[in-house]
Amino acid sequence: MIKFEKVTATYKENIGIFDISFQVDPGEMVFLMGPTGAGKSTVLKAIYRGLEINSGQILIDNEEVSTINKYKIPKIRQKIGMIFQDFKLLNNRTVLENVALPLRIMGYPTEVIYNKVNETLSKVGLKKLYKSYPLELSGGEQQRVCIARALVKNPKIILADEPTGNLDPNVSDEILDLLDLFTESGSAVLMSTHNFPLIKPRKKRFIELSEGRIVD
Amino acid sequence: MINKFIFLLQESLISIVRTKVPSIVASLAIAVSLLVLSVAYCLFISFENLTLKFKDRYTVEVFFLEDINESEAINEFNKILLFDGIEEGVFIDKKKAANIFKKEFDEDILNILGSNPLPFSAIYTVAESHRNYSSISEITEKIEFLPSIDAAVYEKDAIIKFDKLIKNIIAFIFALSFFIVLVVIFFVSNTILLVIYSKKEDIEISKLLGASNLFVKVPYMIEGIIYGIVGAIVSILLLYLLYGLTDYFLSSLLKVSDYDFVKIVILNFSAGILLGVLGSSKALASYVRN
Repeated sequence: MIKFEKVTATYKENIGIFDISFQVDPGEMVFLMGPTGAGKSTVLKAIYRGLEINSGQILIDNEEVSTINKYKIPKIRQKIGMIFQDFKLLNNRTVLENVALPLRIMGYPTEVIYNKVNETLSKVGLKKLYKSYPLELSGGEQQRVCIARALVKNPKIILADEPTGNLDPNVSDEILDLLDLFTESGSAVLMSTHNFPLIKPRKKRFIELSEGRIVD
Repeated sequence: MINKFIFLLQESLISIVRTKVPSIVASLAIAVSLLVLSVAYCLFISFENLTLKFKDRYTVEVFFLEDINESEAINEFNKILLFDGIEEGVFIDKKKAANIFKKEFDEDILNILGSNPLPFSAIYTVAESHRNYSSISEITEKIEFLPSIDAAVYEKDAIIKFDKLIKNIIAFIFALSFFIVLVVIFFVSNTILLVIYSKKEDIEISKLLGASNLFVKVPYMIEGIIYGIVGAIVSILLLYLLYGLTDYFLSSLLKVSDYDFVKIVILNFSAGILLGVLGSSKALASYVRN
């Protein structure tokens, strides 16, 4: 589903990720572990092509993305569900509008959008809050909106960049449960975190990074 | 595709409602510029009609050689009538010439000189398309080149001055219009740029979720078009009021019937939309550059 082969992507000389190779299979949940600055977010950025790839190959659902044209990047991003530590929600839009946005971008008809958004909001337990604005919600609820926005398009790949970074331990566990639930439908989840105690009990595969390289 | 367009149209309308003040100011800027351009256009039409009346006097007076007879003179007269740029002509025989002399000087030339020495002559009216200094001088030179012609004259100084005046006025109207268009494009572009910067984060988020550049740009282009349409409507309403006032107060000077109001309405909408699109394109280009 996600395959890195000797990928190097740098911001400056010696800053970035170097010679990274790994694979995430369908239905698998993999954690990217490491301290701040280890290159976890850079790996995720490389997948959604938020930066240029110096060398190596990245395959997303068997499609080579490291050398694609810039105008094809939106299509790649439409295939991926993304979750961010700072939620990246539109604060002047309701929960419903935020969750509907990816489907609007993909050009779905309004009735289909409402059905899918309703269904997804029910799954993340936010159906009653569809009219609320993000700033009226707690941190955990905002992250659920962010997850709903990522899941509404039924992506095969979910990238989560420190999704529990701003949340308390109980809520963090709930968010992980939610993400874990979606691997059952065959989605691959790649999540970056520096919170080892949070992921330790889950007995999932993790990739440890340090200074932009995989630690053996 | 239609779903996307409807959504983007909604986004543009929501954006306009959310940024009321800049939107109103941008639309008014377009309205004022369209009003000034329309008035300039009407003045240009009125001025052209006035000059056409004056240009009826763009004529060439031709004098034939003294030693040719009337039949030869008429022959030459007819030849000149076929020249490119000649609309019509009047042949003046010796008798008519004597009558003109008598009218102008109140003297009978036969009584003074005992005979009529006045040559055969003709007055040619120049076609509307050739009523300018360069064409009229070209026609005159061509006539003078004929062997049976003694002289061909026209009101050279007056025509040169009048042509220059017309050129200056037209140049002024064009320069003014160009300046106004530049100012408005700058103004609309800055307004839209402010709106874009206020939504910078929204744009980044949309792009992360898979929005293409076109998807991000289209709402601002639509916004520019809406400013243009609103500006055109306001301009037309003001122009209609001005139209009525002109007809009432200045009907002796300017004939409003000279103006094709439907054409002015179409021009207002086209120019308004163009100004809006150019303004938003400039704003988007600046945003991408920065």
